[in-house]
Amino acid sequence: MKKTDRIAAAVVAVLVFAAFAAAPGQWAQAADRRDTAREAKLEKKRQAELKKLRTLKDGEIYVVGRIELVPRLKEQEQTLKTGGSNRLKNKSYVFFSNKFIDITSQGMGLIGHAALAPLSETFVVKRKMSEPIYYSGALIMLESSASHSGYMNNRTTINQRNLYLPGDRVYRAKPGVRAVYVGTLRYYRDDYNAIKKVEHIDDYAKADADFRRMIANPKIPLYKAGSKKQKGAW
Amino acid sequence: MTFINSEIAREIRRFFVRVLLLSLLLPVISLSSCSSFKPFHAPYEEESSLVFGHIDMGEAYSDLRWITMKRIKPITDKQHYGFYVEKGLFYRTFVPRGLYKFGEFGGHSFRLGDMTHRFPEQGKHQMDPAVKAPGIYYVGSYKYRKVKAPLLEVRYVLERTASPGERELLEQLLVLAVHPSWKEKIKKRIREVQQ
Repeated sequence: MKKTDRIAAAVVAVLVFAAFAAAPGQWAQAADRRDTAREAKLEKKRQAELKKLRTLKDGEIYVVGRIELVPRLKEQEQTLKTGGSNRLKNKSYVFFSNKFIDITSQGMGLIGHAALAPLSETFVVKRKMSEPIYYSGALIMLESSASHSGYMNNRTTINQRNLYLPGDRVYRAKPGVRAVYVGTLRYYRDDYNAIKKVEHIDDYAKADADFRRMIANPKIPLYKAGSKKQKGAW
Repeated sequence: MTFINSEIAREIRRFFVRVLLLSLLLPVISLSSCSSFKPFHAPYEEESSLVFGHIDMGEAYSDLRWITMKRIKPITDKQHYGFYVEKGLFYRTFVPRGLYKFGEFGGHSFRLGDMTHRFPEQGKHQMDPAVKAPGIYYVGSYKYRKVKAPLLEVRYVLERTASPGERELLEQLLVLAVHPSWKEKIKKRIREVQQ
């Protein structure tokens, strides 16, 4: 190798080394910028959701309560892999409506009766006003995944499993009330997810504090609805 | 020069012989290692526990080609366990300790294609085993019975039956067992069932 070629090769090697040595620092900065942008986007989304929640239309009512599982749902119990299903992590669909419905029927009309609520936290959901309000239960998605089979994997099957929590309560509110408290519903389950016991607990003080913080509207007080058990649709 | 060439030629020949031998042996080695995952090929101590049962699909629209169960406690990365199926008999080994729940079973129908049936999602089914210690677990023999259902729906129940019994199924498994330790374990279980 000629002397000039050796010098050129050494210079190239030094430049490449310098580029790689500086890269980690630049990568870290780029990652920080991405994290900041992601945080800002999430905060904007949270604010938009809060604004939507705080806007109560005519004919709508706030339903405030809490769903608890004992033992609590572990992260590994939910396998949510299909598009958009990850937003259901540690959440349930609660069914408050103008009639009892069979939430295990998986019909297309079910979604109109459901609202998404977090588990083990006070939920505030908007529902169409009805008197009385029927609670048909809650549904927790445990699995949503896709599997492929057949020639060249041309067959796709969506696998879905749900945990159904029974609902058999009817709530009554005074006319003109815009927010009702339905209580904490605590479901006790065994290893096979069979529901062994349901407790209906009054935790109004905490729920009221959470409601005031979320809605921030002193013109809408939280009314504690009376309830009674009644046989549901499933 | 001639001496060096013949040495090099010999080395090159040795190299190619080694490559040829390796390419012939590698499939044999890999196949033999695969066969150790089939039931009853490895010693009992390595591949216990055995879980087995039987479903008579005579009344069903399809035959039985597969059945799966899920480990519900403890929850680990590997949760789903499939079974080998032969004429209604389903079995598998390498089942670790834990609580299990059968999830789905199915097969093929000439008229309707592949069919899948689901077990109830909540609650303990009589088939669901609790593997507390290494051993042989018989989950029962069942008959698939169709139940009245609305149009375009298929409803069924699995009724526990006495036939084929545990002993008869163990004798079928004994024929499949390859490793002597498994043959011994299954024979011992047959004697226990007879008593």
